[in-house]
Amino acid sequence: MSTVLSRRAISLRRPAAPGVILAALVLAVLALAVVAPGLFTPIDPLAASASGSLQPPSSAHLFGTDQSGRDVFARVVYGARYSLAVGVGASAIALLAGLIIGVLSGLAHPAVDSVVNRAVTIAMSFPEFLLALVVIAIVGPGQLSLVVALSIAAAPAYARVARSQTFVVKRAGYVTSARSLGVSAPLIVLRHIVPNTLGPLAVMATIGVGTAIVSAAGLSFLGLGPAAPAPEWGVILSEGRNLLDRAPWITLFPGLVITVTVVSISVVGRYLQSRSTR
Amino acid sequence: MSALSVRGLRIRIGGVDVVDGIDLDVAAGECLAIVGESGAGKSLTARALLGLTPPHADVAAESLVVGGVDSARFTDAQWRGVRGTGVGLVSQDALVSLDPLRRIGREVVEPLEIRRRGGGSLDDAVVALLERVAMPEPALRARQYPHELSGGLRQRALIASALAGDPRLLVADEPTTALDATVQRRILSLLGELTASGIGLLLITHDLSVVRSLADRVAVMRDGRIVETGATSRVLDEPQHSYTRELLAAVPRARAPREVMPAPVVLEATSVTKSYRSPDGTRMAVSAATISVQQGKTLGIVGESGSGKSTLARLLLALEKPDSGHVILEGAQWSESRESERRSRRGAIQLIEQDALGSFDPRHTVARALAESLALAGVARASRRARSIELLALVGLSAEVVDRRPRELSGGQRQRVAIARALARGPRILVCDEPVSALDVSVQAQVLALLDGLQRDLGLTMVFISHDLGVIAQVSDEIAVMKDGVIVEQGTATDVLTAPQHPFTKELLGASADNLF
Repeated sequence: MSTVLSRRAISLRRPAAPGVILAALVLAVLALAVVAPGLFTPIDPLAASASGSLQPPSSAHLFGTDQSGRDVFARVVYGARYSLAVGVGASAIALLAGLIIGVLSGLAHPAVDSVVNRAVTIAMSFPEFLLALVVIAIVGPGQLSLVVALSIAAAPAYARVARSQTFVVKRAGYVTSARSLGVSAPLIVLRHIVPNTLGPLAVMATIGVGTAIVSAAGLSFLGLGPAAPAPEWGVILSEGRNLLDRAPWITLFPGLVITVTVVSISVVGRYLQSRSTR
Repeated sequence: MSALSVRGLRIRIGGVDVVDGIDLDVAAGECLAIVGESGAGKSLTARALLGLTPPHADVAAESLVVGGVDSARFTDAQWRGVRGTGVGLVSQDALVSLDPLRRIGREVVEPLEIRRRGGGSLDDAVVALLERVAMPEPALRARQYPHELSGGLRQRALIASALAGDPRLLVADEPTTALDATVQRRILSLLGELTASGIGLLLITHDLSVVRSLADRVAVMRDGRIVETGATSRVLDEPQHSYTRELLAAVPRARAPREVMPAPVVLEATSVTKSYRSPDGTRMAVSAATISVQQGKTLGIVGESGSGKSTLARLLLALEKPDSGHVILEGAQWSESRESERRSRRGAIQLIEQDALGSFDPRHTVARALAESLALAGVARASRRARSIELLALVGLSAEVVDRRPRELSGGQRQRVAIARALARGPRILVCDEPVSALDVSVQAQVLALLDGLQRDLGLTMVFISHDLGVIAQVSDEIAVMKDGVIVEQGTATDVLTAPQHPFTKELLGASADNLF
């Protein structure tokens, strides 16, 4: 017993792999870009200059300039705010909605649970991207629509996991103990069931943020996200797509940043997942 | 010719000597038992005799002669040649030891298939092996899958498989621990017959009654060392080492009957019935059970796994609603009330479960778990911490436990915290469902003593559920015996233990009688 405990303690203290530390640093830099983009560049991401258009990367313009002469680096730095807001916002809303639906369904009468579960299954049978497209077709394009569409698309998966976790937790010994102590049912749900259901969902969400960022960029690329001058990453890609042969830097750098962001989020998410399932 | 001879066996894991230089000898036809509590190094020793220690374990021995073969410096390939033919292993959990996707017959002859010697067909060999372990209907069983067999029959199949290679030594690691008392006895007599036929048996167990019924000699192990060894009767009747005496003292024994003074009935169930729907129809978990418990007394409920004991406990606590019949708590309707009315009365009757760890929210500290109970008992927020420390002292724990999480505590400490949490609610009745079954025997004795002291000091009434007749005999004033959801016998402890009426009670008593008195 004692040896098992001490071995577990050692594995908890084991330092994270260098890749995880690097990924965490990338996320920290991104977070800084969201909070204070002015720290990275003094240039206005919307300032056009006809004379300075389509310049290749240089010390003055790290990522070059686009057809309107706007600095691509500044646009990418300021764009972090849009992309991360959409990614984090959509995941948070999806998690919350999924948690509420899943826990209530898991605790409800089997007949109610069965209906909710069918609905969730139907929603999950559509690809998330397609579902998001349908929602945008209904509510119209824009930054907020993007968040709403992506959270609606992602929520069923969270609901599914929350429901199955609720089934486990509601039979746990500590729920029986709370019942026999005389704790009221709503309090048992809030104090024991919800917090113990939340763990796996939170891990899902860290990986879900990456997916949401890619989907958001994809939808913006199609012109369904924020309107054109906004420095959203997908919008920048879209603007550069006709100039791939003459000015590849316009699409290359934002594309790399999206990839690095999503990979970093996945790496950190999977690290947290491995920690939580010890 | 000796079946096993070991000198100076040493197993080192992570710089610690988990097994620290032990000597073992088993002659042909002899049974040597190694007894000790969890962490003593018993199972690791057993594994080392088959070369099955985990990769990070460092095994060394001055000499290691297994089944007549010197295997001290064996490679993996050489060990494979000895396993099955020189030494066979019977492990505790037959369900996980048998491949769920293979029929019993295939599983049993696997050692023969590997070696393929002799001319006779394997089918005959299977039936012969299953007959040797007294498997009923061997030809039918050979075609069944492990899940279709009961625990006792699975254990027989496992023993048959260990015998297939005709080994000189059988290593049995807790072979009967997962089995009910009556089944346990049958497996033990089978193992006894095998040693009589000339096989050497190394028996690993924590259960002294198993040792007494089977072993010729016994080695008492503690912290990787053998502290005492000798003939079974000598060690058990005239123990020399203090640890052996401690182990023996911890074995539950029937207590002297307490003076029976009529007291008011505080908990009674009248022909409560509960059934569950299962894939093969409805299963009667509890059938027309009637019990009553007097104030300050202990009712022991004993029965084997699946007999409905735990369901009855849940009915008494009104965690389940009976299909018919009713439960009266302290003179007022209990099972028929609405949950909202019951909640204010729940403090009167509290539950102690077998799985203490599972009964705590993994995210909460001991302080928070106790606070939940104290809040319901109406203790003001400001004084909850002080009261928690008082309660922990009452169950024999120091104040520093209060900020720990249950998973950081030992099994015995957790069960004490669970008792403290129940007491925090100020109960008059405790329902204890197998409260000591997961604990080592010396810890079990401490927890039983704690419950006994609390009952006396606080005037608690108890319903005590266990599969272990020894424990039941030690704690109970009255005993109810359950089988297949039915209470087949109940009466005062003395009557049930000394003059059992029902055949099942007699069988249970026979299975554990050696140690009771």
